[in-house]
Amino acid sequence: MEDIVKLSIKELSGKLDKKELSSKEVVSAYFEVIDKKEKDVGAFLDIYKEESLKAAESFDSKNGKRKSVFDGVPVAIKDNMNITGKKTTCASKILENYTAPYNATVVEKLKNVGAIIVGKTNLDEFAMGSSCENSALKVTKNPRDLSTVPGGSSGGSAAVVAADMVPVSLGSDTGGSIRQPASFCGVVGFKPTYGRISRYGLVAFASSLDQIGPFGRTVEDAAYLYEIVSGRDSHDSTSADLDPDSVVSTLNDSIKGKTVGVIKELMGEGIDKDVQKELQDAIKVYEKLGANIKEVSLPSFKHALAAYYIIATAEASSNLARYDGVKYGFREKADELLDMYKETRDKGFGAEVKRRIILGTYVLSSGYYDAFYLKAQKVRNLIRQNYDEAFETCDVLLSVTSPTKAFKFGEKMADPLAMYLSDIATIPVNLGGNPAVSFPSKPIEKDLPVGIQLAGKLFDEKSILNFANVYERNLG
Amino acid sequence: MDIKKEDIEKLAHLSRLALTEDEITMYTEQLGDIVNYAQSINELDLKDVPPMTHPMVPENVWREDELKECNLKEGLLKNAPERDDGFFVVPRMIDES
Repeated sequence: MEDIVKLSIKELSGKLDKKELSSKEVVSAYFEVIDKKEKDVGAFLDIYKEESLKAAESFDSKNGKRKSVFDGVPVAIKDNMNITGKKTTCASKILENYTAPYNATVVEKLKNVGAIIVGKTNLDEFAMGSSCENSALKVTKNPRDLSTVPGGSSGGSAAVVAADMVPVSLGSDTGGSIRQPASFCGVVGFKPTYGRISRYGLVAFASSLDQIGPFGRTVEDAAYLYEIVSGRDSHDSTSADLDPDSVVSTLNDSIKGKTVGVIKELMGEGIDKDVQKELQDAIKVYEKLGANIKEVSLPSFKHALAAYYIIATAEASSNLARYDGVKYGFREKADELLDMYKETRDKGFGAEVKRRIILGTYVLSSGYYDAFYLKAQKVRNLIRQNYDEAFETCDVLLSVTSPTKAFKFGEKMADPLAMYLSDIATIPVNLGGNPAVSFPSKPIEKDLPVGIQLAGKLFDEKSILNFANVYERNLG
Repeated sequence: MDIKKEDIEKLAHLSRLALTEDEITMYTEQLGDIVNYAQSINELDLKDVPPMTHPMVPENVWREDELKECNLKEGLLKNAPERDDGFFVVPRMIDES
């Protein structure tokens, strides 16, 4: 008997087209996994079981052509994206009982093509974190090894795919929050170019860095989901004036004679030895596949982390000012307005969120703006210049995704800086606005997985997904 | 650049956070560490580098100035911690002077 939950999106879609499988069978099969594993993994903050089964039955009762590859297929989304009438908590006490009054554009698109959203996944509070340990509501464990973290901030969305609870999911990525958990959980995670996917209905953390992106077990599955949710949106003025992207048809293009640049600043010091080894092996794979390998230097990367934690926290301090107990969310009762603001926010926000708000306020405050924020914006420009220069001679840029494998719970909680260093390889991508994908260095085995990262030119999602797919197919 | 307790207290007021004594102590130390790390960008010569405010060239996105339907009012009011018909109710504001 075939294992329904092991089918790729393409295979699943084919069987649904031919009515060899019903949506009810598919959704039920995935809920069987959820029922069995969720109590150990704890990836979901909200599950819509009855509605999902009803939606599946409704799909099955219809005749005619399916609306898309995802018609009748279950998906999950990170709980910082709105679904009308459902809770959007951002894993925070301050939004624990907030009900969204409108759909995020990505949700609207998924519903329009018939995808069945089965639930919302756990995250670091307000998407701030690299382990999912900052969730105020729940602990999520890495399905590969339950004593380790799934990564963050989209830890839940990575875990549900790694545990076969859904075939694909959506996360968000501001400094690596899709790619790093993908690396830790051994799945594919992809952040497109800034502006490819609408941010309307995504709770803002850092508006010039945030992007939504897909998780899948394979590059192809993630690519299919990306195609559906990409495209200009009149509700999001920062969305690029481009049609939904087409990347699946070029996944198997030859990469012979193309150039892979290996980023010097992301090798050696600061990267664990066993992670380094995976990168060296990956370079050999690309050599075998006929690509040219060259080492490239992007010197501004040494200052990327500093620039990121200035810019992202500055933007966060501004974006989170709206959580004041007035119009929605948690309110701490007080006799006077200013006290209400202060008590509400101190009690409603967790430690990491407060830390970043305070830091962001500091770097924007009078006397420090020029020393920090303005300088960080200039570093951002240097990063853009370095990327542009590297891409003059390279088609894609290769590095590790994270300096370490998934770490144990509590291991990095004592020192915020140690946690921030998890993101050294992913952050430059967000600062530049470039697309990047993380995929497992090899097929899953007993060891904890390691993610390999490919970054691409602005709006060249085609190339990085092509290179990632060819690698994956080559390893079987 | 040393971060002192008074700095954190001032920032807490600006960002509307009623930090406890323990929190002030903790954030004073942690912010000091992070700011020290962030200082590394002062090593760079950034004199002739223009700041990048946004990853994409910021151009305004225009639409026709026409009235459109927006039926969100009840959905928005539903989340109010305290409401009076179409109004959000909040505690009174006392002038600090």
